[in-house]
Parts: sequence; structure tokens; C-alpha cells
Amino acid sequence: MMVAMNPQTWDADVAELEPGGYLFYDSTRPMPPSKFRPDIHVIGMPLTEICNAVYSDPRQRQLFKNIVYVGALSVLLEIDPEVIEKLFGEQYRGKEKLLASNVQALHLGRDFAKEHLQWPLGLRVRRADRVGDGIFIDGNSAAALGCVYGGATVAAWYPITPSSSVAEAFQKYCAKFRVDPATGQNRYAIVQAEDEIASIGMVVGAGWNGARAFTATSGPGISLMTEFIGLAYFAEIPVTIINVQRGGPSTGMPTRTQQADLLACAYASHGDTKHVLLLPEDPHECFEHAACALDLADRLQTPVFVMTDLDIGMNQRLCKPFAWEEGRRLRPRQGDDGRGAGGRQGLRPLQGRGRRRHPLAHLAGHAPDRGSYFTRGTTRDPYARYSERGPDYIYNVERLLKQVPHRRDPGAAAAGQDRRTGHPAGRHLLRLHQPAMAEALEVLEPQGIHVDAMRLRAFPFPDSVAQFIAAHDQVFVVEQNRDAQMRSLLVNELEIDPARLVKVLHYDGTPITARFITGAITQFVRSKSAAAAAVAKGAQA
Amino acid sequence: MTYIAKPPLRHPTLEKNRVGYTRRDYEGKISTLCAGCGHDSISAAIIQACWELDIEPHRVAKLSGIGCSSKTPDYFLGASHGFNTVHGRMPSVLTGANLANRDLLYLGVSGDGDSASIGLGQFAHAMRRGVRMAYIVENNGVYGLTKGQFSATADQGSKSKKGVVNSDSPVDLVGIALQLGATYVARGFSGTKEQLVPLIKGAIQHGGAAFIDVISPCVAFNNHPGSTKSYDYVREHNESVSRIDFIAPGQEITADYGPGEVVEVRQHDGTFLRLRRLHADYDATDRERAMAYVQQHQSRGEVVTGLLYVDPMATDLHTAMNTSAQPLNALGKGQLCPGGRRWTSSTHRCADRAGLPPIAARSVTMTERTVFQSMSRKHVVRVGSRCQRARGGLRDDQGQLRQRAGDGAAGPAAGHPDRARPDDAGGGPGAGAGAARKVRDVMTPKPICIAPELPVSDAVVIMLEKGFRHLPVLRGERILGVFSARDALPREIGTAMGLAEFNEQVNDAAAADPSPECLRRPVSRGRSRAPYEARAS
Repeated sequence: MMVAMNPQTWDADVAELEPGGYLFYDSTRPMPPSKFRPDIHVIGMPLTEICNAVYSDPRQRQLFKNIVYVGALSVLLEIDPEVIEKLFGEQYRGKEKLLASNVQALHLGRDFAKEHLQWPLGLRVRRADRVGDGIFIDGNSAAALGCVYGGATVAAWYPITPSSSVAEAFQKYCAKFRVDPATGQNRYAIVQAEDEIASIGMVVGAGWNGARAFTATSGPGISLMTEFIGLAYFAEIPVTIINVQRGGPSTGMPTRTQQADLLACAYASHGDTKHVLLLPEDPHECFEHAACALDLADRLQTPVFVMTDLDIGMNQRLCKPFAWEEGRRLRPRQGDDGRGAGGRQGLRPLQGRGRRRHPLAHLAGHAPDRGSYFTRGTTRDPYARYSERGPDYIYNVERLLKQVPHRRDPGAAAAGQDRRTGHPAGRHLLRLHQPAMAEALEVLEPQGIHVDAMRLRAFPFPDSVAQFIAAHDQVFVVEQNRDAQMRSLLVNELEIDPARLVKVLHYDGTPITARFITGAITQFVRSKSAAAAAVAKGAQA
Repeated sequence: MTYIAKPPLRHPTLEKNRVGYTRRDYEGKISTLCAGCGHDSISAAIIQACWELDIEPHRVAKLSGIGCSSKTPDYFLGASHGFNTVHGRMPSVLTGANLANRDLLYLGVSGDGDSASIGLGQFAHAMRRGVRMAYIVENNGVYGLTKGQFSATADQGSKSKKGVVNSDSPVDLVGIALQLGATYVARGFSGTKEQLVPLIKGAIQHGGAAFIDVISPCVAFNNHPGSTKSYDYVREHNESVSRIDFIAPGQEITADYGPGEVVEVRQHDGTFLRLRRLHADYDATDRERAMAYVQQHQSRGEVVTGLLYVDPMATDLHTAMNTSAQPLNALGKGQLCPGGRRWTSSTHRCADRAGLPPIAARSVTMTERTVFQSMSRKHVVRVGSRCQRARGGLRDDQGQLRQRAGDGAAGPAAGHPDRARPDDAGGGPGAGAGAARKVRDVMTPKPICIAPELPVSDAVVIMLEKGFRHLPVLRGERILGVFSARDALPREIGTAMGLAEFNEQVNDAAAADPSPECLRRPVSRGRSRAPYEARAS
């Protein structure tokens, strides 16, 4: 059903309807028949006329049109008006005057529809209770809350759609949870920087000095930040970046969703780099991954990206409630044991995993004056001294490679999710929106197309991804960008034959749907079996 | 490029400053800059300033960008934290570092390419925000590392070494800093160390964004006739507006002043800037006039140096953001994570119940510490289980406290050592044990107590004035602990001594008989956080 209220997009809106669909429109001004389609049901209601008759204020006439049609729809779709009134009550809490007039408009619409329109349509909106203990939240708020729980104290940001609400939500949650009750002082610092370069610079500075810090941005911001990301990688400074992806390149589609920054983030900066990416599927994981990213960055002393997108970030979704285990440990902060005078870890060897070393490291906690050293973006020897010697450089970059969570690292949070394994010759779906993907799997199953599925949750890939791909002949990689960036990463990092990875790409800026995924897969399977049949025929001939 | 460390050999009789460091402890590695480079003189000035200010090297973080100037942090303060960031972006990194730990002193070292070209935006915004730091631009008007291109501060009409004339207008960093709200703006010349060192000292102690533009000739590419940043040119055109001397509280004034009006500017932390005006019409606390003066003289080709503007009561970004006194990087999980709240130590638990911020055991602040922050843990009375009893009656609790103190750990009876003379103790190890007399008989009935939020230096002032070495710390009726003179740091005692002296002078001047009110309240602080008498007993 389409409610067409916008004359500018009329043609597109009408074209979008499925055959047999319903078109609801304002019939005050007659529309030429050419503007309609024969294969749809049309419901006209003179909204403007109704409003003009009741209201004299031009503003009210315009605004209440929307409420009037909501009233009409509630009749057509058999929605309980009390539910809508309750929502009004929530929306206009404290503005009782507005509440009353909105309720009045709602009933105006209902009364008209009952009298003049044919109802019910047969389409119904039913009350259901499938929510369970799920919560409604958007991914940006969830990520912000994750940062509060993850112990972030410094946030620097520059406004950019669709990530601005991460910082704003962080501010909101901090005001609630992070104000010292005794002194009224803030246990956080949020700076709206002059640009993305400065915002990542502040995060690097705070991370260098032992505070957990993050920034939230989107594609254009990542482009500006890359020099600093390289510095943080090479100088081993913890940084957390929440990238709410939108359509790119350049300004691209600022209000549409895409997942097209994968390559840009995985290898951000000039020179050899490889960064940790966490790939949340919904707000629940935005919360988890944001907290986890702060932990990982601190532990690995390197930049960590949380790669959410506009669809996850800005749209409210039903998801699993957040859980924070009582007594869950934040991984040891840089400064907690043996903090240097600056609150900064000295050059402390960490479990022999290729960390910075300093001969006096063990003293850092006891003798603050011995823990300082010079951090730099240039090559240095194992004692943090400037060096341009080849062996020193190789020592540096090889060590950095080891520092990124290794495939066997249990803390990599990169576990893929296996689903319905046991079809060795089956196919394998990778990545992406769980709701759409889960629905697609359910649709494909009765069609006789059996697929195993795995969702990628992090980069670098854990061993399970390589094993999973190895166990299947054909692997569909479903993603939301033109160039199959995730597939490139898989081919590049796991050295997989590209022919085995089939692209399923959706990049028009809208969220991917189950229908699209099933369509693409069915088409591929059919064409393949047709081709196989042709080959068989040819062989017979 | 080479790495050359200085030999560790030191002369045994090297003079030490008040925190026990010799000047050598403030040096860095051997400079790899050209011989005669102005930047090396600035490094030397920074070393001297920090040594004279008695700053422990590990309390300083020095940050820089990229360029000749940005290499210099390797050549001074070798025992300080250093970060060589990316070109032109030092201000943002310094801002972040400062937000993470407000207790360190931040030294931003930059050059004209770094701050006036690629990083002009970041420079401007750091000044705007009032990040507390000493921002030093080593300004030579030329790109030295890339061999002699003009930078954005090169004057219009000045000539490069190859004879090319610069046609672009220069960026005047001092003018920008003044306009954008920097609260300490100065210009120095690397060739006049006696002027530069006090300027740097003032900047380091300043409470907000301090900026010093130091003209520093490049001997390799910008020290020829036709250059306006050469040693000769600057010496000839130097127009000094003031001579300043930075005076720490209680420090003997040794500077030799010639004739001229001398003005003392008292700063937020009790330090003084002593200015000798070289021009009668110059007022360094008037921003608008300073801007006009600098512009007028610059248009005449004069290089105006000295302290151009200072707001002695400046505050910083942390004040504006109301961030916690405890550095953000020292906050524990319990203070940050809303879930899984768990206090690990009894001290924290106690502090929590008392409604106080947990004690930062390791945090040593350069900004003012409160009494509660400074008390060593053994002197913090573990009132966790005793809170209820304390509510019941203060007197009992105080008695206990006295006994504990008398047991030897905290020395003589808390607060009033004069009452617990050795002969009173009756030869026994404990004041309350052995002798027939009770503690009650000898204790001070109405001890002067202090609030935990009182700055340490204020507490020391009380001690100095009263001759005490210990003060009980009270919150309402609860005893939180005992503050001992040993808990104060040398610099806090220094501040307090200056204050006490100042108070004495004020009191002497105010009245022939100083009222007790006057004695107890440090007048100069302008605060209402006076200590209070214990209400009970």
C-alpha cells in the first residue's frame, strides 16, 4: 500500500507499487487517468478539502492533513485508534493542547473514512506480541552506550550525517551516568572539533595519554583521517573509530546506506597497514562491538573500526536487549598496571607478542620518572630511538603485523556464525544483515536450494572463515557495495580462488532485502544448472 | 640521520634544583640541527626555564609536528614524555592528551610551516578553545628540512637565499593568537635568552592557552641580507615592549632591573610576573591595545618582542567543560562503567559512602590538589564500618582517632603537636597508654579542622600560621583522616609560603591587630573555601 502525498514523486511512487497494490491519495484535485495504473486499487480521499473546511489557519490545514489520513488508514487497515492515541500521548507529553487537536484530527479522518470509503480493505494491521524482551533502539545510540560501558572518557567528533547522533547520544548518556554525584564534575570530555582531522588527532592524543577515546564519522571523515590512522598504527596508539557508512565516494548519497568503506578502512593510510574491523549486524552488536572495540584497541594498541552503516545506525530496530555481565572486566587499561607518570604505559612488553619494549619498562609503575619515552611516526629501534636502518624498519612492521589479532586469537571477536552446516556441496552465504539474510534462507529452503550461512563479524578473518569457504564449492558473498569489497578482502587475505566467490551486490542506497538476495541466488543457481545442462547436451551430441 | 645520546657522565657537584635535578637532567639528545640554528637556543631556553621552575621532567609532555622545529623536542627534556605527531596537527593531539590527563604540563613545539601553513586551522582552534599549554612556534620564515622554500610567515618583499622575492603577505601568528583569545601571547627572539627564558617560564605556568612566537633565524637558508628573519635584521629592528621576570612564590628576586616602571602581575597559582614597562603607553593586560600596538609597530618594520598580552586569571578548556579534577585517564572502571559497579579497595568504598570522589592513589596533580587527594592512605581513617558510630557521636570517634594517632603511626596527637609534648607521653610509647592521664585530658577540645575539598596549599597556609603539622579532615561530622605536612609537595609548600607571607603583609597593612577571621582565611585566594571549626565537643 502506498500513501502518495508528495506530488513531486507521484510517478515514481505509483510505479513502485506491486500489481494489486493499493494507492491512497488526496483526491481534492482531480488527477488525469494517465497518472494511474490499471493494475492497482485506488483510494481517493479529499484531504485538503476536509482540512480547509475544518481549519482556518493555513499551517494547521497543512499539518493536520497527515493526521487525517492516519485516521482514515486506521479505519481501512483496522488499526485500534487507541494505540494511535497512546502514541500521540507519548509524542506530545507536556503539550496537552497539541494532543487534543491531533486526536480531533485523527477522528475527523476516521469518521470520514467510515462514512465514505469502502472498508475494511482486507489488508490488516494486527496487534501482535512477538517482541518478547526485545528493545527498540537505533544503532548509533547503542554504539554510544557501548562506548560509555566500554570506558571511553574522551570523544572528539565533527558533525557528519549519519554519525552525528553517536556523539550526541554519548553526550546524553554521559550526562546521565558519568557525572560525579559528589562534585558535579564530568568524568568525560567531548569536543566538537574543527574537522575530522582534528577529531582523530584528539583521539590519538588521548589514546597516547592512556584514556579510552573514540570518534564517530562516516566515509568522507575516514578519507580525511587516514594520515592519523597511519600514525596511530605505526606509533601503536589505541584509537576507536565508529564508521557509520553511507553511500560514497565523495559526498555520495549522504542519507542512504551502503557498506562501501571496507577496503578504505581495512587498509587505511599510505604504506603497509592492516586494521581491525568489527562488523555489527544490528544495534545490539553496535553496543557490543563499540565496547569491545575500546577494549581491543587498548589491548592491541592499534586503531579499531566499528563498521556500522546508516541503516543500522539511524533506524530504530527491534533487537536483543543489551547485557552487561556484572563484573565484566574491561581489559587492562594501558595505565592500570604500571602507569607511567603521564598515565601512559611505558614501553612494556606484553606477553611477548611483538610489543614495544623498554629496558626500564618494569620500573614504570614504581619510578614514574623512568617511564617516559619519545613516541614518533618515524621508524625506531626496539628502544624507541630514531632509526632508518633497514633491519629496524623490518622489525617494526613485522611486529605490527603480529600485533593485529591473529586468526587464532580468542579475543579477536571475529567468530563467524555457522548456521545449518552439513551440506558439504552446498553454498555459503557471507556477511550482512541478519534479518534479511535469515528471511532469505527461509525462503530458499523450500525451493530446494540448500545453503549454509556464515556471517562475518570481523576483519582480519579468523580461521573458521577459511575453513568454511574450503568446505564449500560455491560461496555467495552478499554485500552492499559495487566492487564486492568484502570479496576482495577474502580473496586477498585468504588467497581464495576468486571463481569460487560469487558476488551478490546491492548498492542502490536502500537497505538490502530478502527478496533481492533470494532473487540473485535463485537466478545464479538456475543459470548454472541450465549451463550444466547445455554442457551435458553438448557432450551427448 | 644518526642518533647520538649524550654521555651519562656528570660532574658530582652540579647544582640541583628544589626537586633534586641538575640542569643536565633536563637535556635531551645531541641536536642534529645545523650549527648556529636558532632552534637550539630555544631548546636551551626551555631547559633553563624548566630547571629553574623546579618542574620534574616526567611531569611534562612535549608534543610537536613535523619540521626542523618539531625535531627539537628530542633535544631537550629527554626524561619527559614526547610525541612527534603528523605535520601541522600537533594542536589536536595535544588537546586530546590534555583532556586525558590534566595533570601534566604540555609543551607544544611547532614551526612556521607547521603552524602557519598546513596547521593554521588547528593552531587557531587550539587557541580558541583555551587548551592549557605552552605553544612555542620556532619561526624562521623558511622550510629548512626541504631546503629553503618560503613559509607563510616570510615577510612580503623578503628575499630567499637564491634571491627570489616573496610576494605573498605574511601570516602574523601573534596577531591571530591575540584575536582568537589566547590568554598569554608573547614574542621572543632566539638570540636574546634573558628575555626568552622568563617568557617560557610564564607560559608554562600560565593557566590557559599560552603562545610564544620565537623568531629563530635559519642559518642555512634564511640568514642573509634581504631576509627579515636573520640575526642581524631582528637585532636591528627589535622593539621590546617589556622585560619580564617570572617569580615563583617565596623566590628571592635577583633580577636586576634598570630604570622604568615595574608592574607585578599576580597569577591564578600565586606566581608573579614582574614586568618592567619599556614603553609607558603599553599595557600588557589590554588585549585591544596590544593588538593595535603590535600592528602599528609591525607596519613600521619593527619586530615587537616581549610579553604582549596576558590574562593572569585565565582558565582553560577543562574549566569550561567541567571535567573531573581527577585526570580522565586515572578513572577506574567503577567510575566509568555504569554496570558491574564494584569497588575494589576499602578506601574507595569508604570514600563512596562518604559521598566523595574516590581517592586517586597514584594521581599526582600539577594543578591544585585537594587535601583529600593528597593524604596518604595510611592516614585515611577507614570509617567504612565506623560510619554509623561516627554518626552517633563524633566525640567517641575522635577519641579513637587520637589513640590511633598516638600509637605511633601518625606521630603526635593529630592536629596539635604542641599539646603532646614528649614529657606528656609519660615515657610510654603511646600517649594514651601507661600514664594515668587520659587522652581526653590533654587533647585540644576544639581542634581546627579542614574540609577535604580545601586545596593543599591553603591547608599548609593554616599550618604555617598556626604552627601545626597535622590537621584533622572533616566532612560534616565524619572524620575522614588526618592531613599531615608531609602529604604536601614541595611546590605546594612553596605556594603556601608565598601566600602566608602575602597574607601577613595584607594583615599588617589592614589593621594593627589582625582579626582572627583574617588569619584563618587566605585573603588573596579570593575563595570562600575557608576551613571551619569542628562543630562538636
